[in-house]
Amino acid sequence: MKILVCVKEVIDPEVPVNSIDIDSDLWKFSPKQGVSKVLNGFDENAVEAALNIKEQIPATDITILSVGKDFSMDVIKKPLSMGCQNLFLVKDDKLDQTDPFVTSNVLYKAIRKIGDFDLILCGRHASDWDNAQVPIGIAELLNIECVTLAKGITVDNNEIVIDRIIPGGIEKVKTSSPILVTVSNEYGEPRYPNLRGIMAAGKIQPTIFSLEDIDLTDEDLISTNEIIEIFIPEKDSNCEFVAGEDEYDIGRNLALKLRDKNLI
Amino acid sequence: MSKVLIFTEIYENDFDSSVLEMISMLRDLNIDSKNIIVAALGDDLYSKESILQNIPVGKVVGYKNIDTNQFNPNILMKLATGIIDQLLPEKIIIPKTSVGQDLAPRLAFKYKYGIVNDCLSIEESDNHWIGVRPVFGGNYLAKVKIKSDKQIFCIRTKVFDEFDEKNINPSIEFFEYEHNIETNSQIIERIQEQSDGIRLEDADIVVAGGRGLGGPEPFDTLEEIAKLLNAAVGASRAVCDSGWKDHSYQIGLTGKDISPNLYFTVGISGASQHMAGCSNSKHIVSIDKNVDANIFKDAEIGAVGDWKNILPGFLDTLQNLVKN
Repeated sequence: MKILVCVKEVIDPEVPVNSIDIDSDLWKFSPKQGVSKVLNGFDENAVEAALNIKEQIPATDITILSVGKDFSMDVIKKPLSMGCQNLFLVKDDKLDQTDPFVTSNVLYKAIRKIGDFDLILCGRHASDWDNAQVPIGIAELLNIECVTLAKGITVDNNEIVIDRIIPGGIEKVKTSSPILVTVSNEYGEPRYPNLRGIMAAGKIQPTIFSLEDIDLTDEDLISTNEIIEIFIPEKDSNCEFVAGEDEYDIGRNLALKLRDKNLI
Repeated sequence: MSKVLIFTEIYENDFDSSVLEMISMLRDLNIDSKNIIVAALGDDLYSKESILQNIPVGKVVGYKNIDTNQFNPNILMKLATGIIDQLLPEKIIIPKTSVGQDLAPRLAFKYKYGIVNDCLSIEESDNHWIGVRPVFGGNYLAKVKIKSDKQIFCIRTKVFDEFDEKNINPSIEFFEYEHNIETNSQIIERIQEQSDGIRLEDADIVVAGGRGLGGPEPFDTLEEIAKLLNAAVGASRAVCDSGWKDHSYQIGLTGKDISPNLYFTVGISGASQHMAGCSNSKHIVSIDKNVDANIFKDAEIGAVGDWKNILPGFLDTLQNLVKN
């Protein structure tokens, strides 16, 4: 089975707001000195899903694809350390910050260049812009069906069954290749790379494409949206802190306070 | 002003109430509900005309006798495509339901509409609609303008009040679907979560724990508190990803969206992606060791300290209060 996983480097979503700079001309986020980039967490879930399929069907080949202006190799090679085989990057200054339409165009044309895949996996969304559009865009451009929010994927010969998250439960979706599936964090924790994986990843050279290599046109790079402003929402903090002689007493007073206010 | 199209889901006995929120939002933009067309998506709509008649807009359109295979997104996409082909709307509003959030980007890419996903509101500026949406898990808000005239806005639900004028009835037009409705992907089974107590989404009081609890065991105390308060138990994403609690407990951007009267949290720092799922709570009360924790910006009442010492005092007092 040939699997492609699309991944993205993002600013670590766990860092506090003041570790990120906003460029108010381009409305671009950049991490301050010393703030790390990480692989988008949902993309790691997608990588884990691909690796589980490979464990079941050893003749599976997993290719990783990412696009951007530049990459931190230790971040972008993480899926290889986890056990994936190939890495393709589309690298160009014009890909510094792209809207979902442009990103989808670039990924679509890169996929066409790399070859056919039975299964394309993506994270449910990227934790920076939270758009949740690119995977669906790729599927639409490739003219294949798409199943979002997978919690589980099982492959049995030509049949693929996806446990898809819906409000209040899951639905089982039966489908077949080629198909694009987005994976959610409910899929389960991604594995940690082991030493053997890290060594193997060190030996794999990424294939780097320019925009010309994948026949990208100027039209493909036109964004449909314009960001007018980005701001931090203001909050009036009016929290009333409960006091007490010790922490047990604080707990006691908290319960009494809730009763006073008729909240319990 | 051209007409605006809203997509909505029709169930066995009613339409999805988020369409009423969308009508309220459009009224704030001076769009009269008579100038709104609702595109209805659902099974066998011909037999549900009485439901469609209660949608308070100018016109409702939909396909007559379709089996959507339990709202299979790939089938809904075909139906929505057919409706857009007939109506060619400039502006499309899609409520961010489970179905809507999947459909909106599909239509945008298919028809080259610009899209702003997950909007909290739409502002008007120089006759342009600007979508306001959270980014970076809700740490920031972005105002986004679509450059082309063909625009889709996918709007978060439960932000606007439901439109409540009842004396408006739509004209109804049914279409026949003439293409092949079959899709490669089929829904073969639906499995509902088994929950022992009150559903998180329905609970009047929700008691939730976060990473700060350090493991699954302290949830026993939260369960005990919940039982006394007739509350549901929830958890942060960190807790569910660590396997301390099942993902059905997860509250937040990628989990459940709750709106209880009282949201009581222990050891939840209040990351924006968590707050995205609970900011509609009427009262937030929180225990956390860090006085600067984000949760205290939203909380009305707070207790700072080690939950291991605070909770026993809380629980003992609560038991006495309940007994009396």
